[in-house]
Amino acid sequence: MKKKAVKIILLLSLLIQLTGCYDYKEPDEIAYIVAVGVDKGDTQNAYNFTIQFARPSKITGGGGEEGASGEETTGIVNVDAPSLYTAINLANHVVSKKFTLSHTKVIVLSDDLCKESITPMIDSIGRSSDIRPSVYICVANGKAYDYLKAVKPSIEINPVKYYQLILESDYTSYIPVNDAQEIYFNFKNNLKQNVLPLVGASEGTQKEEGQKQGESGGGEGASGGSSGSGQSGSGGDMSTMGQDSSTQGGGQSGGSEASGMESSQKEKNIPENDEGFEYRMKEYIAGNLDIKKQNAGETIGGAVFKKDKMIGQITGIEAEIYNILCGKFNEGYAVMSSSKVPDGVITIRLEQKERPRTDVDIEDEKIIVRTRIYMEGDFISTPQDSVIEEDILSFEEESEKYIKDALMKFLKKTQEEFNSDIIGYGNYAKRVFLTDKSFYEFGWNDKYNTAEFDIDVEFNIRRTGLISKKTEGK
Amino acid sequence: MKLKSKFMINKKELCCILVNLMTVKLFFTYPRNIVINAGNAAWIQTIYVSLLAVAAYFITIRVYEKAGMKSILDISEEVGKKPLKIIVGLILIIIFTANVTVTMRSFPESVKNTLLPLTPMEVITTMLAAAIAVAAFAGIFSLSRIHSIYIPFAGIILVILLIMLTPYMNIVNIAPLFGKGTYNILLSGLEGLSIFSDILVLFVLIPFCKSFNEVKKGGGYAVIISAVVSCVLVFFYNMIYANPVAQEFIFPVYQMTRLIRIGEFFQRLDAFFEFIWSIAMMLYAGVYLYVICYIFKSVFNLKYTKELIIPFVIIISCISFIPSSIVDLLRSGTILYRISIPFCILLPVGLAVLYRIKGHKNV
Amino acid sequence: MKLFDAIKRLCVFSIPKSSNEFVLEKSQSNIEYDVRAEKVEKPEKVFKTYDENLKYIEKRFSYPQNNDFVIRKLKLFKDTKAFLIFFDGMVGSDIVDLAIIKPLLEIPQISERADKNEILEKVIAHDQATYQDKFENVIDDVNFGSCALFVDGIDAAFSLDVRNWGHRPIEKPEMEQSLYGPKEAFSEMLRNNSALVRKILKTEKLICEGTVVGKVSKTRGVIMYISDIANSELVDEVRNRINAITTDYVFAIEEISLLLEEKTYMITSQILGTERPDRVARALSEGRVALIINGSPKALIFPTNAFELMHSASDAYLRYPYANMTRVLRLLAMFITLLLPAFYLAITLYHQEMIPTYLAYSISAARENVPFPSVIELLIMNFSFELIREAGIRMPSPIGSTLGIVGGLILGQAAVSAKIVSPLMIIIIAITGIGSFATSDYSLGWSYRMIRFIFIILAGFSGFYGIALGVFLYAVLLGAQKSFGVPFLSPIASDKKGNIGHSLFVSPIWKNEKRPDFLSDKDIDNQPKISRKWKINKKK
Repeated sequence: MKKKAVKIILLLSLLIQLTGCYDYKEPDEIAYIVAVGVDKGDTQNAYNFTIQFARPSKITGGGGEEGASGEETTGIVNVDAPSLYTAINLANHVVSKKFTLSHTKVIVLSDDLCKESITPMIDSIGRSSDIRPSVYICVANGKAYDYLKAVKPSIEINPVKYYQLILESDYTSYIPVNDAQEIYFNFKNNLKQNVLPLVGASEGTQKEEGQKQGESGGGEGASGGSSGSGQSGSGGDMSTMGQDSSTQGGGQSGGSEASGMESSQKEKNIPENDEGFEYRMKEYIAGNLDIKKQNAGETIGGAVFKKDKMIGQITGIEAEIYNILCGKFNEGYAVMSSSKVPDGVITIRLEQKERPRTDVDIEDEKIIVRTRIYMEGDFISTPQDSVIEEDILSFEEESEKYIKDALMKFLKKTQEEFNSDIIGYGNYAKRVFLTDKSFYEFGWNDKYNTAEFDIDVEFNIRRTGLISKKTEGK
Repeated sequence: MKLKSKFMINKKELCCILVNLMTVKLFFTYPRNIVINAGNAAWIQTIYVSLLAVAAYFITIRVYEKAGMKSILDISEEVGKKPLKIIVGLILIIIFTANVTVTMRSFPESVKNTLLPLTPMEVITTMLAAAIAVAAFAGIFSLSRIHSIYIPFAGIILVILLIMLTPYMNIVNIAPLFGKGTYNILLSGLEGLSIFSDILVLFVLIPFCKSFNEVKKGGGYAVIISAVVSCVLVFFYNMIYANPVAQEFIFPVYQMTRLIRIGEFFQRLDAFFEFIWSIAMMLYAGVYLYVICYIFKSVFNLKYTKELIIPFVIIISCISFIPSSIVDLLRSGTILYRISIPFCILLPVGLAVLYRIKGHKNV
Repeated sequence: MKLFDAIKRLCVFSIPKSSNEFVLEKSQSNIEYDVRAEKVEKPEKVFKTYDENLKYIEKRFSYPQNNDFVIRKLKLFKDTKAFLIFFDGMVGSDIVDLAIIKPLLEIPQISERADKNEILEKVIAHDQATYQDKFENVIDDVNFGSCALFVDGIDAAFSLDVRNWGHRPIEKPEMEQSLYGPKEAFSEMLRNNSALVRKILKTEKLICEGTVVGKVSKTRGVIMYISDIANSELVDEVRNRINAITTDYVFAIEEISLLLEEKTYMITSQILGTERPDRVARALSEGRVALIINGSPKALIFPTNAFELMHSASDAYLRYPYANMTRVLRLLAMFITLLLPAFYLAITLYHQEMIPTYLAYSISAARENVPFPSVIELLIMNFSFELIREAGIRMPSPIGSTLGIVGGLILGQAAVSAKIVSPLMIIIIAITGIGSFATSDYSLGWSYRMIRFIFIILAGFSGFYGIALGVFLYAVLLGAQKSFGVPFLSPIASDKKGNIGHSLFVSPIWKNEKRPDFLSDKDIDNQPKISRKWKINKKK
């Protein structure tokens, strides 16, 4: 009996030898893709893929020589192929190691592509188990290849950490927040339309050779920033997923002048906002910033979709408004104007304490959307001769009016110009109906532009920093 | 090998075995089928089905009490002599074999999809078959003890998983409230009972347990716990994914675990949860294999069980290769569940009622 | 001249000297007295006359050949001849001189018709004295260190227990050290060992049943149990199994444990052995049975289960939070030493998406120039670590510890600089090795090493799936195990409340109200419900 058992065990162990290890992949036989860019190709159905992969030994500083000269920390391969995985297949013939998409951080789509349709990309993102659900998808103003080539971060050594920090942190408010997996779901559910962040490469900004340190203030595309006040709203925080951070929000105090930078920029005609909310801030869109920086990539603003086509763009400030309406605004610095100080601006630090409460009422084909927004703020800087702290209540009321005006203007724009429900009020409208069938018969998307909005803003000032001015003699 | 009755299956072990049998299939495609059927109201359907199942269980066990510690085969022998025993035994073998072959195919499919994309199916299935053959050799008592250690641990991990998923829940995904309509929920929703069809194993395992009280309590806890787990899981699935998308995912729970993200470090933990679930699956298949061999032995009055294990494992593995793609597999799974639900719910009750009637006649 | 002789030997031929070549070829079978045979053909009873006894004894013991066998001829009262036999070196010569020979030579007159009882009770001045009718018993006793007295005219011999050979004193335990609690350990004398236990449990119900194991070595042992607590069926089973061991020699108690275990090829050890008397006493008070034999400083405890192998003696003497922390640490150490290399292999080779991106880059960069695949690298480092550890055991202590440090550090550092292994591997192996030291049972540490090897192979073959298979198989095989009728995993499998506290974690001492249920004791209650009466307000 024992001999029989021994024989069987030996036979079985022989069998295992026949199979081998299939999925065995040594960690140094794999090339990790950092970013993928998709452009329209020359022929009808082909796309042009840009694959940016990491060179780990340069990144970690081990093995090989360090220093700026020589190879860089990432490499780029550009192929034409009908789909993403065939592109990777082709690229495997160029680069010796096998590509894997499991550590991809960002996927950039060019705007020409988005104006046609993004269905093939979205499908493979939903279906493949390789791509992380937290990958960020962005739209490039221009070609994606230009953007990927232009990104040269000024603090980090490699773009990997750059993408990650910019897209994850939550101190950028000029970039629309969008969870990556939401893109696929919104696309399928067809109730809330997507807004993807915009990235772009600015022209004419040169990077100094051999200078890898980021200077403070220099840097990554600043989001509009607070011209005039010390802080720029939202630094590079990208908790908003799906944002392309080609431009990081400034986030550095003290302006964005870097020493020793050459910038020969064209004159950019950027309109300035003169509403009460975000008074005197420029309305930036990626690719069109007038910030002097080392990194040529920039991220600000968003691209609006309807179903699977891109139909328009929104600027940085409008993206901020979008964040507030969706309830995903984290923190940022904003400027308000006040009637008491016509020439000056008041900087406050905005936070959204609660998600907005929305109710949708539908009576006989008439849609009324009621939203209640809760914002809080702290004073950061006030103009010289004013004593705003004495009369906070009136300032709050005025600010509420300014904010409400800005929100209404934006919502009207979504109705008239875009005609797509990007805030996602359709989700709330579902509550009115009892079954799926009746909701589909109602046809929300067609009736969106007849909706009426009733916005209520609650804005409170809580703190004033370390100083609380008083008028003399009282 | 007859153990003293002290070391037979007690309440906790029985509860853990049945909870494993009933909930481990949840992680396949069950939420998807429910959502296809009922839309956004999948959670309502699950609650409805669970209440039905709990009620059915308590009625069954009440009627069964007269029979005491006899398994369903012994009862059928007393009611209808040999022919009925053979018929009932064969029905049981067919149902259980079908169940375990669907599992033996789905589980390696999910492993291949998620953990090991390139390894051929045969290798994965062979390793699984060898493991459950060894488990069946070790006996049902060893399996029950492992269950009572492992299932609470897996339950804690499931709770942690659900807690980590709460940031992604969105109450608007539940609306509209009644989904695809009440007909879909109530009538064709009876398909949801497929989760509870494994309760039939309880009635076969009765001779191995300590006393009827333990059986009653163990089974009751098990049905309630698995009802709660299934409701909670489907509810979470509904809250996270809205209707048209939710009908598409093949492995819903795996898809949910892919969402978990805590900072930069804890990402893509789905392989770890697959690992935890794999052990539960192997326990499931091991119990079923032992039960099949035991039924075969009882039906034909054979002396030894251990020699039956290897032939059955080979038969099951070969049958599991019949569906040619995963789409076929999903379809055949649905058909199987539709056929087996009436048997699993009605067979024990029917036989117990017959036993009572016969008992009355004799006395 | 030596050089000249050497050259001469080299160059000139000389007849080679014949050396004695001895080959052990012929087998003999002239056994005179086969002590293993059941029936012996020799006179059973002691002879009555002096000469016959003397001749028989000389022949039996091969008297002049056996150098340490002493026959002392005496003349008692009225010139009655007597002789005393014993083995030199095994008896205490002081006692023999003072307590036996001296009184025998000075005894007063007694009647001629004195029978053996009278002599025994009146004359012999020694504390352990019996008379034996049969030669076998006398010879057994003399073999074990008694001395025997043959008196002319009496058909019995008196055997007097004067055992006193050189032995190790009672020292601290070597393997199971603890900072708290008593620090005595068993030594090699049977009576000392049983006394050590009995002085802890001072009850007359503590029974030490004698057994003899081994036909030739006739090793004496005692089976200890408390008859009011332990289940009598368990005691019967233990007794039957030990008596059924049929072998010639038993040298140490480890051999008995090897003969008693149920599955030889199973990787986990199945019998618990300890060298601390307080642990034995605790086990006996729970209703278990212990075995101690002469010549081994270790006691075996039956039955056992999987969790007891992980307990250490000091768990009972530490405070509740600290004891639990130690247990948790030991549990973590067990998981680390079993599964860490396997998980590392599975994650870096099969499931790279689980690693944070920076760790993936640094692993990839660190492995740039390493020639071996990961599995081979891990096995090489594992093997060299085991080599260092084995070498450290055999060395005398100052060199041994230095060797471990030197070997580990320098070898690892040099291997990394030479780019044979990657630095992360060294860390993994070091943590694994340290984890395996944290177990308190030596044989359990060995089982971890073997199981770790199997897990490495499985993980290298199929990642997480292989590890799941390995865990499942091991758990199932462990669950089927039984130890003296008690399932190996019983404490956690049953649903009685008291048991989980005993197994994985320590429960506070005032909560141990019932004895473990799986032992089926006669008396289940250990403590009353309130064992700290000082906490209650006394009603005045």
